[in-house]
Amino acid sequence: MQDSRIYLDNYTVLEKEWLNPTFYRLRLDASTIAAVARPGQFVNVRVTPTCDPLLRRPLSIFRVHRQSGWIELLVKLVGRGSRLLSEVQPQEQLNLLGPLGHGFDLETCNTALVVGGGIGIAPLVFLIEELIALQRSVMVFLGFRHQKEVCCIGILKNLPLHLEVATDDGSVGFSGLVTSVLENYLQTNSLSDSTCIFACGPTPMLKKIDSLARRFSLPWQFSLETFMACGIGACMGCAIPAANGADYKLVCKDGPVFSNGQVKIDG
Amino acid sequence: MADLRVTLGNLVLQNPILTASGTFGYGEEYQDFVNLNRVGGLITKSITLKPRAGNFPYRVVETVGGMLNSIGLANVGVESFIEEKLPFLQQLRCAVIVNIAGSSIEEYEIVLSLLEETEGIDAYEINLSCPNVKEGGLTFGKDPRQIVKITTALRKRTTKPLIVKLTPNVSDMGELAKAAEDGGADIISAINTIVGMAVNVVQRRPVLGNVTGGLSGPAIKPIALARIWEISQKVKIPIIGIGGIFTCNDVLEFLVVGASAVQIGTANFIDPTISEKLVDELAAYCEQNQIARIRDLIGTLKVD
Repeated sequence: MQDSRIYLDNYTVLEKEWLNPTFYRLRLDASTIAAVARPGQFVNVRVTPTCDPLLRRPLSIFRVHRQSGWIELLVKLVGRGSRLLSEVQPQEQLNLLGPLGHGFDLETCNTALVVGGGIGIAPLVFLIEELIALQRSVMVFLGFRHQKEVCCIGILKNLPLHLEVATDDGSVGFSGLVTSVLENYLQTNSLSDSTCIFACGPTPMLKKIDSLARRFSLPWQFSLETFMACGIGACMGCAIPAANGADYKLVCKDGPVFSNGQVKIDG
Repeated sequence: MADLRVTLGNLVLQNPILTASGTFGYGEEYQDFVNLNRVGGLITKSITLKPRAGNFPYRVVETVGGMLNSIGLANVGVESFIEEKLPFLQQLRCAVIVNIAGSSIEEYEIVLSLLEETEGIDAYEINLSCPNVKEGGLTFGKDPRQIVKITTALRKRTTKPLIVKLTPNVSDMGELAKAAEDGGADIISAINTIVGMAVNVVQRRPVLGNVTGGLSGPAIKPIALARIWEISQKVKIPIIGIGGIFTCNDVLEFLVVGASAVQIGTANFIDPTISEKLVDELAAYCEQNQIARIRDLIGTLKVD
């Protein structure tokens, strides 16, 4: 039985580090959340105590250290909210609601193909660390725009996993899309029954992975995002079309991790 | 201890803090955050005859000091509401108010009649003001003659308090409120969201799947206060104020202007504990200012 407690509290920022010109990592003293969080879950963060900007920002849990009681968030600078959040200093507090949503299901997967595009790596490092703790075989495929954006390699390179990096301009690793690297892997390796794909990234990347998964008969689990308000399934604002085309799923409550057959991946 | 009780016709609330329809789910979503027995009352999501999936996304987008939504009355439908959601609400000591929406007078009548056969509902809020569905709601809600008709029809079917929730998307809300009063409504609630829009310039497309949505949040508070003032000049029945309330001072502003109670909406998304906090803050304010009864503040606005 998984612990589904949700906490709402102020948590102290322990560290802030820029991992590249636009991605920063926040470490928070949040033992309550760390104790129950599962890979793929998120926290809804207040970026200001004022009403401007108004809404919380849903952010994936990047890493967790249960013994030390910290959690980390990986944030990309995109707008006012993420800029305000980037100005937070160690010892200051942030108000978090979480952990929220359904995370990745690790049960049935013995060989994990983990695919991240850009900031899509945010929920994947916690997943990778958990998969390795469970002694699963892990292949990681990361795509970035260019060498300046490449991040998290330091964390991953000491783990027992196979890592492939692709950049759009070829400045690091394969020159081209990460999905091309994945496609090549799928074509040249024998796949077991318990191989599955975990991914997070831009919609065109997920669409391509969805079509590859169909071709190679593999199940997938994608971490998705959309505009969100409450984060707890009350406002019904974060709906995305369900696979059946008639219904909707809520990213906050039914997701943010969805598997093939649950939702429609549209570009 | 200050007396926070307020009386709105035949509806007595232990305090004037209610949670607004559409922002509080079916109550159960907030039970980890709020002691629901301590708020004045809880208003459910709009309930329709059949389940509704809601509008195509995006459904929400942030704006300056507010947010736009076009949820499209997504709800489980009256049958599932009674079976799955009502039992939780029946255990609560706060007022339980069910919001009803429909696309015809008959649909409102059927839903209300089905709810009348159950226990534990203290009042009904009639949604005549949803800006996000094509049929019903706002079509009735902008026409005083339709408001009289629908209120009269529902009045015949219940003796419980009938709250009519009005749209601000008209030039004269007083006229709409008067129509609800003439039809036999006990209480007016206002304002619902203000029609608004956001545009993605790169794609040259509306951000919301429904093109337009309803604006809520602190940005609309001054408008809400002015509209409640407008309504209070036209009707004798009590008013529940809604619109961008975040703080105790916001609550007091609405009471002074003429609201007998208030609803907390968008603020629940930012701070899920806000409704209970405001009850505490209101009590503390009364203590500090030697106000024995909160109801003595209602409608005390001085205009020369």
